[in-house]
Amino acid sequence: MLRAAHLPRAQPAALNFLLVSKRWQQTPASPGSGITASTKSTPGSHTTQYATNNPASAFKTQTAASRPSFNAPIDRTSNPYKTTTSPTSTYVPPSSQRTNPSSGNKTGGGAGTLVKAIVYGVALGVTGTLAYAEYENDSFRRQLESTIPYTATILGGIDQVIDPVLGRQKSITKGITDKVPDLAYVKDKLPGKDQVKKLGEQVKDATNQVVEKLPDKNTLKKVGEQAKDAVNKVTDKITDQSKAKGLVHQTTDQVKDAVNTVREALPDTKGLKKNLDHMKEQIQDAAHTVKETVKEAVPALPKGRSGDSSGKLTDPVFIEEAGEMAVPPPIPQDKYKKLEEEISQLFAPLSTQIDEALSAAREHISHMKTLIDNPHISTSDHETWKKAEHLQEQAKTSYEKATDKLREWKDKLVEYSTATNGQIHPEEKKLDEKYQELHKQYTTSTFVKNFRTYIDEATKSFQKEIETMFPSLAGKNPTQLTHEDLQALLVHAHRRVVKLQNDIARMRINESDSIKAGVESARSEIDRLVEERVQTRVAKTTEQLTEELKSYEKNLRQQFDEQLKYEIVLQHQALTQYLADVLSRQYQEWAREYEKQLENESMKINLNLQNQLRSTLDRLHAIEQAIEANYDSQQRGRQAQQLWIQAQNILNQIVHGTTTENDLDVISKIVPNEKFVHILLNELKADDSPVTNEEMLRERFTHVNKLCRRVALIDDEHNSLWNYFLSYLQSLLIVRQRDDTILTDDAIDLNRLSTFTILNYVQSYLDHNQWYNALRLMQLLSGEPRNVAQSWIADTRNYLAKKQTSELLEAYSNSIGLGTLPRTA
Amino acid sequence: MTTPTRPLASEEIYGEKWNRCVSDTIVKTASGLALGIVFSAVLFRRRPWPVFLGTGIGLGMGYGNCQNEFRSPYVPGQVSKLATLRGHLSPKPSNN
Repeated sequence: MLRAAHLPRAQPAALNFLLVSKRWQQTPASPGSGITASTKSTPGSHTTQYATNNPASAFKTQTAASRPSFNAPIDRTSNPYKTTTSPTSTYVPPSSQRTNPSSGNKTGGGAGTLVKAIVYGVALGVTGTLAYAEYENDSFRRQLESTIPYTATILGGIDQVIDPVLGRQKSITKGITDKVPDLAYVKDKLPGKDQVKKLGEQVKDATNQVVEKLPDKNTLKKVGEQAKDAVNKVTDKITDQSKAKGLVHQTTDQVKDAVNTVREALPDTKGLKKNLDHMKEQIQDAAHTVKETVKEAVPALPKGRSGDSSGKLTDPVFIEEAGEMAVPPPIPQDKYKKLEEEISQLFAPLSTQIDEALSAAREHISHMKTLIDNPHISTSDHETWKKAEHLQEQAKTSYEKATDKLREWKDKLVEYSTATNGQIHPEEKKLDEKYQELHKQYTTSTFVKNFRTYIDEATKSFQKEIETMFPSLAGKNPTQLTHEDLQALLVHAHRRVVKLQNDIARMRINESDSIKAGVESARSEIDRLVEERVQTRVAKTTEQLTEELKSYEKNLRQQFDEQLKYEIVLQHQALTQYLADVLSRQYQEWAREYEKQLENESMKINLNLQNQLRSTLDRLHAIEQAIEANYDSQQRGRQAQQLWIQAQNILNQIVHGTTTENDLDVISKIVPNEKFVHILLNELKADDSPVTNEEMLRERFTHVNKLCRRVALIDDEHNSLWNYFLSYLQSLLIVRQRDDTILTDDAIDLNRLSTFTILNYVQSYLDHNQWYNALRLMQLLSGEPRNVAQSWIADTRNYLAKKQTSELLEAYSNSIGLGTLPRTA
Repeated sequence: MTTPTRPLASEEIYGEKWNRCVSDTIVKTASGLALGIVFSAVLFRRRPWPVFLGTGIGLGMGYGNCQNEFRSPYVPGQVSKLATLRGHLSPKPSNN
């Protein structure tokens, strides 16, 4: 309540207290409230208002942490005005309000910024690692790709963007793989033994096919049998003996022709070489056509058209290529196209011509067929023969035209095939077929053409025979023939038939043999050709492959050589470096060793020499010194004497009078080299105290003595005039006395010192010339006597110092003098 | 007061001081006396007390001056040896 009583008068003070208490109340709330409660209970409107204001402000400022400390001084200053109004309450709450939301904002914002910061940090880290991996492109990148799963894809994607920009090639292993030659490629191209075997087999197949397509023994047999049948027909039809003969001749001739054509058609090497690519197909076509022709011809005609199929035996061997060439030549596409066009252009007219020729030949053949089949046709039937001739001629001409065109066509085809590296024109096949057919038909027509001549010949020969053998019968008509004639004819005919049969048999044997031989030869030829082809092919391919292998080997070898060279060079370098290193090291070591040795030796010698030198020098020095010392000593002796004299002078002067500069200079002249003397002289010279001597000092002492006695009682405190008078009175009353006890007994009782005793002592000292002691004692004076005696003390000190220096000088001169005395051992 | 050129020895200061002191006192007394006489004659109808007063004043002043002078370590108008010895260099002006 005391506080409360004070409040109405001393508001600022109370407020101060409150503010202090507020500050103190920052943490605990209760004391403040207690105090504010006390303030509340004060009487007076002012105070109540003030109190109400204050607790509110106090309460509110308790919430805000740091604000009241700022508010408080401000509040204090403007307080008297604030009591009436309530700005305190308004002032403080806004600040507290301000702090609360700001703190609230701060907490909310803090979390958001934290999240943002974390996100940014992570993103930055990721981009940084990726960028570094991309840039580095080596171990770090590989590590990253191996450890973290999707980085490879990401980095690959980035690579696609960055590699063109930076111009760097992907990857590490590229260079290595380029150097290694592609063995697989070559291996694939090598046909190997299997392929060669295959080729051989294929060749064999083709030959077998060909051989199969060749006129079988069966067909030959058939042909033979047919010939036989024909012969039998002939025998049955006796009247047509000539025909039979002709037929037999025909058959034999045809067989011969067939064999010849086989022989001719086989080694058509040019054709073989031109048509390497499509031989198999041709063979097949040949077989087909042969079959057809055989089918056609054999049941109708007893003609052994056995050899035609061999026309197709262009090249039974190839088949396939033995692999591609290493570098196929480029196709001149324009030429190829042009050729293709030309060929296709030629195709149509050519085909029509061939068809024409074919039709003509067929016509002729059919006509001849009819003629042959018809047994009743005689040689006299000129019309039919003429027709036959005409047809034959037609056929011939058309055939020739066709062959000409075909030749052109073939040339074009050759060009085409060379241009396109052996590719087949599609229409070539058809034309070839047609041509083959045509050829066959034409041959048959040529065969057939001779039918008539054979018939004529046969009849003529028969007639001749008859005439020769049975001249009588020749002229007769057939109806006039007698039984005997007929029998004779029959016998003849029988004999003839037997002969013919024998001939036929012989011929059959021969024919089979010859056919076999022909076939064998053909086969052997084919085999030989096949072998040849195979061999050439194989040789070619082996050549190629060996070449390739060689080149590859060469390449490899070159590479190996290069590598080896490189390695050797590296090793050589390494070796040389190593050698150089070793050598240098060795050299250095040895050099160091030798240098060390050299140094040692040189040092030894040096030391030796130095020692010798030193010893001699020392001796020399000693001698010199001895001499000099001798001289010196003499000199110094003299000097010493002089010095002594002079020092004495100085001393006397000091003691009794004044020193002059001359004296001192003289000394310096005497001994210019002595430092000690110089110092002393300097000391003496520098001493600018007023010149005194002993007597003066003594006189002065008496004066000082008197004065000191007179002012003995005066010191720092007691220094009025009255004290002066009293001390004077004292001095008058104390008896001056000399105290000689001190001379015997040095101990001074410091407690019992007074001016008088000191002065007595000093007097006695002075009387006995003990200046030093006197000085010491004089220094023990205190107070005014000290002041009085001060200058005397100083002067005495100086005097004594000078005296000391001069005494030193003298002593020094004595010492020098003593030093110069000859030593007596 | 003539100032001697050479520095004074400390024992001489005492004498010097006494000289000054005595002379000063005499002067002051005399002047006091004189003034006293004058005053007594002029103002105070020849009463004796101003004389005595003046004299006493003079004496007292002299005494005081003397005392002060003895107390100070300096001799006014002098660079005393003592002062130099003690390190006080500047001479005090003389006060009359």
